[in-house]
Amino acid sequence: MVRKRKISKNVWPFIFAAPFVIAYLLFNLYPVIYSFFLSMHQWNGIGEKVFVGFDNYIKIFTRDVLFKKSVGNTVLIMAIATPTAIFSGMVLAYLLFNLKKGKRLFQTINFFPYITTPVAIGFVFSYIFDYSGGYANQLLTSLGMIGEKYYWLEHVWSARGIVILMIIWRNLGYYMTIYLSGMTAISSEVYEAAKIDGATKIQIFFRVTIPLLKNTTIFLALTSVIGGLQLFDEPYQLFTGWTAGVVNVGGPKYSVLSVIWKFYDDSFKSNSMLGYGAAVSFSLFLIIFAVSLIQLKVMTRKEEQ
Amino acid sequence: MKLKKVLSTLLVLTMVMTSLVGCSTKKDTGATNSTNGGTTEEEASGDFNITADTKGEITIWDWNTAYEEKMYPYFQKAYPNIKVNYVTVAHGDYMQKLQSALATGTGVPDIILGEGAWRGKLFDMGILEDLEAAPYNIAKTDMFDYLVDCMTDSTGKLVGVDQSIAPAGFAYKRDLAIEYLGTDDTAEIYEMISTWDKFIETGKLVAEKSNGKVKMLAGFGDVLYATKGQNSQDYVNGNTIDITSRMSKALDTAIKVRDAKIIGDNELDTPSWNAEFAEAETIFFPSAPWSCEWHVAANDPEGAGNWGLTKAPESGYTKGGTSISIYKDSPNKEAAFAYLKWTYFSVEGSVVSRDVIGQYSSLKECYVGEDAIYNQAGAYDEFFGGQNLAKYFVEEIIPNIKASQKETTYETVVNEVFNKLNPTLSTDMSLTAADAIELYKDEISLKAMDAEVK
Repeated sequence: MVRKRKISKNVWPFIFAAPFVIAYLLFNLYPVIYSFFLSMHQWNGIGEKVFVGFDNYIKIFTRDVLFKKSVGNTVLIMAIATPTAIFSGMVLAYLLFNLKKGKRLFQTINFFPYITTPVAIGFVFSYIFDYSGGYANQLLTSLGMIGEKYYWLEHVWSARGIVILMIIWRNLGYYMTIYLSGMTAISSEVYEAAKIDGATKIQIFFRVTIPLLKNTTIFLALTSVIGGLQLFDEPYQLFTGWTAGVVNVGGPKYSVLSVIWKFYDDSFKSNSMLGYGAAVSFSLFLIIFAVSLIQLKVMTRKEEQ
Repeated sequence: MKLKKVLSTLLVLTMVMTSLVGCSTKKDTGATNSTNGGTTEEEASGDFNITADTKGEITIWDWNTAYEEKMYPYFQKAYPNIKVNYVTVAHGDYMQKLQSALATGTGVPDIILGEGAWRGKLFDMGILEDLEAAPYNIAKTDMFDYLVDCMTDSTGKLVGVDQSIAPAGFAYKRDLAIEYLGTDDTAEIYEMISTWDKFIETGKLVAEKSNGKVKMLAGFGDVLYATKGQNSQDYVNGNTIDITSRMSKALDTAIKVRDAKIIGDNELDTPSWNAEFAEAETIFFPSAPWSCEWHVAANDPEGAGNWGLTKAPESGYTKGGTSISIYKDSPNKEAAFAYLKWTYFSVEGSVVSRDVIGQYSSLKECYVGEDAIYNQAGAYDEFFGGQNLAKYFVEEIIPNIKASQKETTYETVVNEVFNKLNPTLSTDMSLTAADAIELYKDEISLKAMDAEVK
């Protein structure tokens, strides 16, 4: 009788954990494994799957110029956009935190871009930087800052710059909100002690706020790198958002082609190579996994120190 | 501490996997094709016996809601027992959604549309019924000759009918034509632009008169789209893409027009390009019958009566056009064919189409004798100053369409490269036609890695 009760007691944790575990196995783990299985095949989604072993991977890493380019673009854009957005978010949060009036209003305004649909963002930015009718050219030419209209979306670095701007603009409010909540958790006594010691506002920011927000920064950096490597919405919408069917895949000279965009294009747009696309996405998975491990190792080492 | 590290690593792994799954594998997974349906032996032996009592329920994915809102009520009167479920799918997302449905074997529509940009890829998937074979028995000779290749896959099967004819001419603004060309008469205007050389000469005169303000066309994309269409020919043989023979003449002409500085700087199909219709700065706009509604009237709502239609320099070409096909595993082929035939390929449906949406069928029979459907005014004739648009498209433009090509899987890649290079060729005036061909070859090689591009 005692034994029976003990067994039934032990079952409850499993029952409570089961929904998540089952959902995880079904919707997360299984697709990942199936994706790897698919990456070993040639398949257009309709006919028979033809087993090709590691051929897709060999092709990706030896012959596919656009894959290398897409990895380079993704890392480059992420490397510039993520630290800039995180630092700007922190500064903005610090400024808002000390604001006496209108704090809520500014907080809400800054958060709007984060909840705006990417299609709308793509449309807005395409419209601003359009060559013939865009506001950027109209403004700059009317102010006499440029003599001739500039083709923002047809030059490599201006296209990348706009994508970076879109990422920062979109995510700033999110970073700001997370930092604001992090700042709320810092005891006011620490700030008071610093003030009594004669620290200026800038000194307090760099010597008190930033170190005490380390865990928040680690969290944001980790999630942003994973998200950053999955770059897709911003460049895709910038070059497809407003046109009626005309798509400039990858932007000028493929300068903003991201790995996910490449995967999407190979699988569903230019081609129907689902097996090859799966290999591209799995390659990205390996890259993200390696980067995340390194990142985690560096951060935990610092924590241990 | 070790446990903490292991837990952290697992956490990272989970996050990475979960996030990646969201953007990749869910779309890739799924069962194989649907196996229901298929042509039965009875069907294969002859025609469908389609009558007003034919029953069925079908699904169609379309991006144009006009067919549901305006045509369907009339179809229901003709076939009260056929229910059509319309699903609005943006044409930019169409192929992705279709491939996902095919891969999972669920939700594939009975009637599938094929837009020009990706029609080659769709036709090459082998999922469409051969409409020339029994029980459909559509004769290629019943449709306009220039369309046959556009509706044929690389194996020679007729797998679609055109939603509506899409021959292109040049729409023009009458007020600008009178001011800068001295007339708004269709024939006289065509005489001034009947070749690309004449088009350039006329454009230079217009530029002189207007101090460079008024352009002949809104952008480089308009010119290259026209010359590309005019020089259409088969250029894919197995894995060989002969882009040099396909695009050389088209690029030569387009770059000659570009260098004459008589065209605007608007990128094709962008809002600034659309805005040009209402501005007083561009005389000509390439137009197919569908463009009269979607481009001209939509972008220049105040311009009723101020538009005319003439032929493009050299010859006609096709602009857009959408194939209508039946899914090979559809369980409702009879009802699907009844809908396809009535709506897009029958005299009765064509009359309704003319009256309610201003579109015209590709069925030759509609244009014969006293009952020809263009003997009554179409929906946009008044907008074009009372010009009989359908008659002009059918009698003046279609006979001048010289060439057409079979749809191949590489057509999608070539179309994308075309879109990609348009802005480059438009702005970099130093690029010659020979440079452009090299760019085309490089770009196509990047996307079609297994093909030989020459």
